[in-house]
Amino acid sequence: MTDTKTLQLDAPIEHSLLEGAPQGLTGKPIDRVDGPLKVAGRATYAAEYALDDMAYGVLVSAPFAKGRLNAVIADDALAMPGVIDVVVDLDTFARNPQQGGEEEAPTQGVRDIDYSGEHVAVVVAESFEIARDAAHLVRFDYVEGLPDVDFDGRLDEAETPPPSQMPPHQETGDPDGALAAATVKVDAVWTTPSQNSAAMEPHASIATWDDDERLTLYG
Amino acid sequence: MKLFDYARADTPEAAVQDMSARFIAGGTNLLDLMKLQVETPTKLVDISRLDLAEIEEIDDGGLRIGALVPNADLAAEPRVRERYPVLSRALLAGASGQLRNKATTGGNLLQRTRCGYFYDTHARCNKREPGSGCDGREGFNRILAVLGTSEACIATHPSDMAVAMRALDAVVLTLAPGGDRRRIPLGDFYRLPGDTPQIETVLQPGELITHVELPAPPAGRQTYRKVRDRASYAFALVSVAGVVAVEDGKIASASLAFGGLGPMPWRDAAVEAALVGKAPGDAAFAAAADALLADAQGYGENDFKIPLARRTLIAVLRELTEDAA
Repeated sequence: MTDTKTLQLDAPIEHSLLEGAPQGLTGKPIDRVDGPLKVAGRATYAAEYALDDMAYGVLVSAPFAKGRLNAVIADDALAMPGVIDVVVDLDTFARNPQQGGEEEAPTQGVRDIDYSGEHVAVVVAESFEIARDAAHLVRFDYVEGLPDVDFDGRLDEAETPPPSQMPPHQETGDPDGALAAATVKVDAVWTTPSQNSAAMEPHASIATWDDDERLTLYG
Repeated sequence: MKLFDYARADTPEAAVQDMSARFIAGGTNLLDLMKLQVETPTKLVDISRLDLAEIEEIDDGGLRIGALVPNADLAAEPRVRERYPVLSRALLAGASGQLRNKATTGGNLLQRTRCGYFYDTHARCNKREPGSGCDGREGFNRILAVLGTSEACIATHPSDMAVAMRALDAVVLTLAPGGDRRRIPLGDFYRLPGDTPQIETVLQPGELITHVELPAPPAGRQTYRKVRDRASYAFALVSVAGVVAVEDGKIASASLAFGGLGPMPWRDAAVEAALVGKAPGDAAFAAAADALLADAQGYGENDFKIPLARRTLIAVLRELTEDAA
């Protein structure tokens, strides 16, 4: 184990950047400031900053979708040349980030696995390729449970969630009145498939401890 | 990915010297699989610089396509667009522009299934790890096969290009270690999974695809219809490559191949026999669909593929025979 500094993620931050982000922009004719850079390939993504002495981390997922994780066995991964560390802490490993606007700490602890792909450890190595390879060598001591994935079969148990802190923005005008007053009417049906925004940027960030003990995160 | 040796071949003869090596050209599938450690070759022989990227006319009126011709170039080739539009359409229905620029003709034929259990090294998969079992049969099998499956494997072959080539009676040309050259009709090229789903073709260790030959263009209209979850960049749930000629009010010839249904580009002589000599119409089309799907078996989530294949086939046959002489 090398000399590592730690950052606790067990308390909410008082004010998240998301809370201060502008809202209600949907539908407004506003250009993204990073749009031209991204479509032209000139944007520098978070993981593209080249700092000195970088190490590379690859997240390790539990090999099952539901169950109890007793231990992460990292011996083989640690033995691979170029591997610096395998970070395992079943009680404090952050499972979910603090969601924007919520005043709760990130959900911690990965002893109970609740979904496929749940991250339970990080392999840190001198190169991305070594970390990715070593992640395949991590083994697990676990008791697998039965995942509950039949959405339709349990619809009758569905509950209405409590009101969200940020209710959906909804506003209905006066279509009947507008149509009655219109000079020209077009009667047609348009459909559009559901849209899902997907980030162009890879899921990666860089963190660096500064001289004044502050952590700078490129994300 | 695991460590491996890398060598670059300057001639096809040099490329086939090492029977333990895997060939790499575009790498659009193999590299992904190596990163995931689904494939762990110990040696790669880079064939991408071999002189196999030409498309030539051959004596019987067909085309000989070099194994390294990129999918994008093959789709855009004027002679392919004019004489084999089913192939051009099939190629353009697959992958993305970037992938088609890199992916090669030979590599496309040899791409592996996209079954999620094949990709998930924590799951059981007889194709990835023979004898380990199959999590697909009772798992999330919506995209998996309904024809030609076995107890060991229900994976589909993902290629669109190969489906069109199957309908066009393409022939695969190979060079084996030792210098032997073979001509393998595409209809004999793939193997059913049986109890050895890890063996997908009749290629022997070290045998290199050098070309694919298309015989002279068949009579009749051609089309490729692909049904999928999104309008682009998605694998086929069902696809149909069709070539049908109508003469004097009867179907004179028909060639139909199917993607998304089986472990190989699927073609069944009984389908075509149900059509030839018949007047184009829903009675003949229904008989063809019955012939195609007589032995189809769904595994739950993919049951829908059986009626979907029927409707897609009938729609293609209507399109290819509408207003035909």
